[in-house]
Amino acid sequence: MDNQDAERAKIAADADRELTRLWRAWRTVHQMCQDRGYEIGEEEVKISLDDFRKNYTDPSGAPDRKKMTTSFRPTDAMLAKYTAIPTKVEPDPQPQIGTIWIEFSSDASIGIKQMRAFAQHVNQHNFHTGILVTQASITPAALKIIPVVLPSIIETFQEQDLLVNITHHELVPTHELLSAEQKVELLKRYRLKESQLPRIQVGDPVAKYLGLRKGQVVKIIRRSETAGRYASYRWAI
Amino acid sequence: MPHSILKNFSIPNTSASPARSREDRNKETALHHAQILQQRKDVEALILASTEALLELPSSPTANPAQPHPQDISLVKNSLKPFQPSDYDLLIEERNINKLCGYVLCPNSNRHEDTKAKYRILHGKGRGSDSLRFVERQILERWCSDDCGKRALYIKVQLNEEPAWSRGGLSGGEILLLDDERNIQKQLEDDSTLIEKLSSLDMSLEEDEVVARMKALAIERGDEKAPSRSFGLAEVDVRENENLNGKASAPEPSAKEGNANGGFDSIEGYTPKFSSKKMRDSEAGNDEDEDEDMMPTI
Ligand SMILES: [Zn+2]
Repeated sequence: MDNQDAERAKIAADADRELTRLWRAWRTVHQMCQDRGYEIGEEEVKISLDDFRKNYTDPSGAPDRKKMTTSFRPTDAMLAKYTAIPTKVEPDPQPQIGTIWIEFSSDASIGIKQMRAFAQHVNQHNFHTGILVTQASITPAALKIIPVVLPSIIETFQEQDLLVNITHHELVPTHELLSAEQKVELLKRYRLKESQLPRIQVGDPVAKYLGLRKGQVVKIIRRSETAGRYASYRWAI
Repeated sequence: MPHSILKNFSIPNTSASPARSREDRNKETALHHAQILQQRKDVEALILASTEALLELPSSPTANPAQPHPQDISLVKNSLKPFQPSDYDLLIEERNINKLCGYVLCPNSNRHEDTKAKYRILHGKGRGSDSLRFVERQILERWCSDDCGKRALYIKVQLNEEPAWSRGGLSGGEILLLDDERNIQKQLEDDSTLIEKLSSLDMSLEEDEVVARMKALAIERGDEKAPSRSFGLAEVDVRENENLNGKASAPEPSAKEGNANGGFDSIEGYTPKFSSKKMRDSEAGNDEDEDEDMMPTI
């Protein structure tokens, strides 16, 4: 009997540790979407562990990833940021952003089939972007599917990469996406071509966090004791 | 005098043409690179599509991996032509994720060892610590059985390591299955390089008694009247293949690439060393020797 109790206690402790991990990843994803400019209530971002436990566990108390899905719409400010400057050819450009779908995968490994299924879900529901949070790394073949499913944008994160929000680290300066208009202004002011700016890879962790796309420009704001706040700019490649 | 006329004639020509031809050449080079890039993209897309299709094989859930359906066989043989060994490894990985045996024509689930330990110890032939083999659990779990592991490796060693977009139109020979009727005979008759591969395969699999199995196959399929005749190189009537293309398109498999991918090439923990022709020559004379005699050459 004692052995059984000990075993049961161990399983419960494991489930609880797993739940805490997922709660942290869940919160980071919400902060990330909020930082990108999606419409999210503060109480959603700051969900307590208890509330998370209530909503996202199975009857045994273990976390249930199948329940961990959500979607957000872009705010007006975000829509404006993602809209190109009107031209004669394109007098009424549409915002290049839309509803985002987020899903924590319950599959232990993600291969071609699992990725296809996710892409299909994103396409069928006309989500502009899909974020798949996975338990382990994705196979190389499955990653090759991501560019094939355009126009939907698919992003992937591993749970372990979301346990802490990297942008909250004190050494990581603030990154801010420039709108198309702000980008033109910047280049005009400094008489630069975008290719003359220092670069940031779209695979850079902060770029990934912000969902940067090739060609966009971010403003990086640092604080310095001597100079106060100062900004630099990077062109995403 | 005609000499100088010719010279005079050529002077304006050479002074004008380098600039233009350099431009032309640059254009040509750019076009050439663009074409290669496009070919490469096309091949990659084709391999991805084939990988997806091969995830669905075999077409029947009750198929026998030793006797696959002819339609499945031809799909496999055609689809795998542009594959490099590394592409093939990815296919196996994908099948395993879907809880399928890594051998593309097998409907069974892959093995699942009831342990999280990295290695398993298997008892081989003989006694004492020499007979113990350490086998990576991950490798065991790729297949439903050792037989399927052999079948899958048999295909892998035939795949061209050269990417399909740089094979220069060489289509390569037909991929053979371990269970193909006549496949050993065919190999011996058609392509001397395959014999070489087969001998490397022998080397790599001797612990698993594949040599014996192949001997048996050769006897069974090829020469029932003379059962004493073994599967050996000395009796083979090797005709020089006039078409050297076949030879060029079939490089020897390398153990390196597999190792980088987590030791795919190692058979139950034993990593084969794919040898040069030298080794083959040295053993060609004593083909009837037992496995043990091959060991010192490894
Ligand atoms: Zn099998």
